[in-house]
Amino acid sequence: MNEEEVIRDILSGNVNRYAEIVDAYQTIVANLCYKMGGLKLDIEEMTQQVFVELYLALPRFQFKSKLSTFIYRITVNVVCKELKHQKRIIVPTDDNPLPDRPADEPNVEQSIIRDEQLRQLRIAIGKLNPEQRTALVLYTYDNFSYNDIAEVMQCTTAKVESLIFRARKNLRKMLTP
Amino acid sequence: MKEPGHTKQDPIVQQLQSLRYPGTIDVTDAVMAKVRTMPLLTPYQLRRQRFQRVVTAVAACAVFAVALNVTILFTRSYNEAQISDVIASVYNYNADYESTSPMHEMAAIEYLYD
Repeated sequence: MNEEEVIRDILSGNVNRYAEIVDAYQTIVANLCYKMGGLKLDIEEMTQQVFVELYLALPRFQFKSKLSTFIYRITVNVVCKELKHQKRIIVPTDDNPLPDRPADEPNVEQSIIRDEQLRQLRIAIGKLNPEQRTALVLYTYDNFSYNDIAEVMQCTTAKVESLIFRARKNLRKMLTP
Repeated sequence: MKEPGHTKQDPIVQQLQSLRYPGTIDVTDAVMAKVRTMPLLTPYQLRRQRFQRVVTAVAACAVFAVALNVTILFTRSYNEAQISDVIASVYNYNADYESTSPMHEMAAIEYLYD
């Protein structure tokens, strides 16, 4: 998909082509919302909201950065805004069951332990401050460098490095029994 | 700056990397239904919106500056009034002391020698 061509097409009135962008990025956006949102965020609702915001922001996209960076920035803003709006304290609830496991999985016990660890990790991430959480979550994307994160967060790479360092330190403190 | 790859070996980072949304997501239809009803801004409207934001920001700064100035002036005049009150009361006290002091002294001497 030639993103620039698709966006120019959308801006000139062919709205239907926006579905191509949604199709291409919805899993990435959902994962980012899931990682950033702690336990109670409605991921589907958030993902929809991100794409609506993205659509409204498209005329401001100047093709200077990658579309993915632009989408990440909007996702981070929408999630942070929602979390701020909710002023939530993240607590584990039964509303968010652990992901289903196939019945024939070889080591069920290990899998349960791993799921519980991930659950604890999500709770701990929810307790980080928004900047540290954003930097750390973006950092976990394989192809993301400090410069990319700085571009999404609109700050310096030195600040990103410091945020990631502090986030990891805080997480380690929270997760160590 | 440290090599990003180096710290990505951290177990916490690796755990976070493996975190994925467990369900499947398909919001295309819902999003398309919403955006079809939303008109996109034209370049002219976009420029106009930016201009309005700048004007609003400048106006907000101006209001803030005026409010700050008024507060400073008010505080300063209030403080000056307070200071002059204190000075005046000190002068009055001194004047009282000077005028009554000899009388007190005389009264004390009379008391002592009576």
